[in-house]
Amino acid sequence: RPSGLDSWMVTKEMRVGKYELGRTLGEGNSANVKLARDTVSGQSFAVKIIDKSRISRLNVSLQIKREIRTLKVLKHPNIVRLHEVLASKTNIYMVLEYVTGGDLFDRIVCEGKISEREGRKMFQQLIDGLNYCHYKGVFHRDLKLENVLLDAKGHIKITDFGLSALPQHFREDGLLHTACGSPNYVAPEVLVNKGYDGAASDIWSCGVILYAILTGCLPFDDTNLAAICRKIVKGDPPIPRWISPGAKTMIKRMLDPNPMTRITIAGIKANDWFKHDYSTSSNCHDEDDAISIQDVYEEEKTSDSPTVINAFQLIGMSLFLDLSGLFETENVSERQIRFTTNKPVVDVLDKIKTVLMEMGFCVQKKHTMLKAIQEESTRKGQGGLSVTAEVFEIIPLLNVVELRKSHGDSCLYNQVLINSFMREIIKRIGHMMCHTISLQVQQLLR
Amino acid sequence: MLAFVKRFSLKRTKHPRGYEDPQVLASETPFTVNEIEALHNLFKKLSTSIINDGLIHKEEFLLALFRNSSMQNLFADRVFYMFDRKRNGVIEFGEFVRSLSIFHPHTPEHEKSSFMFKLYDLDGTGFIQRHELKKMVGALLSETDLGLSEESIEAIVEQTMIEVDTNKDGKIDEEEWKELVAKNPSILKNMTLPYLKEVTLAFPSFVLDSEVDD
Repeated sequence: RPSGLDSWMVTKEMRVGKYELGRTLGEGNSANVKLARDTVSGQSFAVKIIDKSRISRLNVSLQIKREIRTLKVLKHPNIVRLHEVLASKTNIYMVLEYVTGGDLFDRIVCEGKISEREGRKMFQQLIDGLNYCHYKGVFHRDLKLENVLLDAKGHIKITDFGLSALPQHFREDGLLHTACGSPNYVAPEVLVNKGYDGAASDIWSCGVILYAILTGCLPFDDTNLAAICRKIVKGDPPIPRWISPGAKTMIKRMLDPNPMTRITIAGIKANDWFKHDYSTSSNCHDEDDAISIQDVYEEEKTSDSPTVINAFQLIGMSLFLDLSGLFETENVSERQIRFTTNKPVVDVLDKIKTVLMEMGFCVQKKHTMLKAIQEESTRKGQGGLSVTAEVFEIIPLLNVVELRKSHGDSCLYNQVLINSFMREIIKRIGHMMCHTISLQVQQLLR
Repeated sequence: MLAFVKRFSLKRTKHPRGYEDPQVLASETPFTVNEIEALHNLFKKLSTSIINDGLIHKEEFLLALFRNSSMQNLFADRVFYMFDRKRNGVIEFGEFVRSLSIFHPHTPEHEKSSFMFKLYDLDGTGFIQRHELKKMVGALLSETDLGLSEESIEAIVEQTMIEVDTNKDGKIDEEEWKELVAKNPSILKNMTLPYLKEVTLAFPSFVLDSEVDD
């Protein structure tokens, strides 16, 4: 981006892999962040540089690996994306999306409070990003104005998942047990050091952020830490009279000191004040699946007759030629189901469509392919699920039907759920099958 | 002197047979040195799952891909054979990286196409012959438990031979194969693994013991 260009001249040039490092964007306890330019594509990135000697002393190497694995699964327009990781003998470099517009803290300090209309837009994006992370099983645990960045278009991007905890860090009672976060944003249950629900305490911190966006001040602030803590535990911050009733209710519901009665993301998304002018950020957790050669030739099809495949395309369906199993925890054979049928294509697709619609999926038909999405709204904020069905003709009157589920999803809960959907579809269309391709259908039906 | 011997033997145990310098591998493949270090983490996991010798045996390969080390399948055999470039029955680290590099999204299509042609050329004659195609269709159908009649299999093979074998000599040569791939790019879909662009994120352990100089 042009704004970063001049800075290349003034700093001593340093190269890491294909990246040229530029000026320093930020300095922290265990890491520095520098602007970097990909010398191949010319794109700018923010590179977080971690000194290995420091982390080995702090014994946080496990945490670093965890942070990388955590960020890897987060691909959302409102979350700062981790592109790759580099390392040398002395440093670790995390190549992150570069966000040009600074953070929300600076914005509010410089320009004061933000109008309700614009503030709500930011809040909606914040909730979208947070909802996505929670659905992936990742909690932020350190949400604050400084961790909410603004891009050139004013869209928000949440950053710094350094303190995030994944579900494996729960103790047996299912609650998180590490106190962390910045004092002003910390939920009362975190302060008193009981185990806490990561989702609820993230909501609290978002409530603090919403308050700051709309008023220009922090809800719980004082000159010393003890006083701040007292205010947090008491809850009920003063809300200026000029805040609209809808916004006021939202803030109060989010800053409910009792995590059990505090509003949930589903509750926020169902709220009228929140829903005003709301459109979901395009969820792109399927983007890896999207780019396939398959899609390219799909567009060329014009009729409703199935794609006729030749022997090589048939052979290509072998599970043994798909090496993605090396990189996935999920078995390749569990991702898709194929069966043959001698029933007319239209009948098969109609039946699958009916079954999917009865399960609450929104189904789109394109030639001989069905794309079914279960929107997150019907799933109480759990994120979308998707299933694709496609018909291929091997020889006249013998078609292969392929059912694919969304994959690359780390959320076990969703995988279990979608397996049960697949099972249901197979059961209901079983009478149309001649032969099931591979064993997993029998396994599913068992 | 003792120190030297000690150091030397240490190095020997650290890098088993077939280990190659990431620098060298990076210069020959689309991978960076860090990506090769990350792939080495994956390789270590695969090559020690059954026999702890730093080499991937066929059983380990099958176990990694299909969670089953004892299955029999023509295509699995062929893929293993293609990875085992030295044809000594095991996959060494260098072979692993060089073979996987063909599956990199940035690798030119003609390399992917040529790899696949060799994979399907079961007898290694430089042609995909009719009987090889029929054998592979049969293997796919048995994998799928799809009891097609002999005539149906013949029909599938015949139809494809008519389509592909344009000089009608009863076998598919590399030129005919290239034309087929150009017309049906989806044939190469197994040859690209998007995961290979994210190996540093998938296997981040390398960040702690990277040997890249600053």
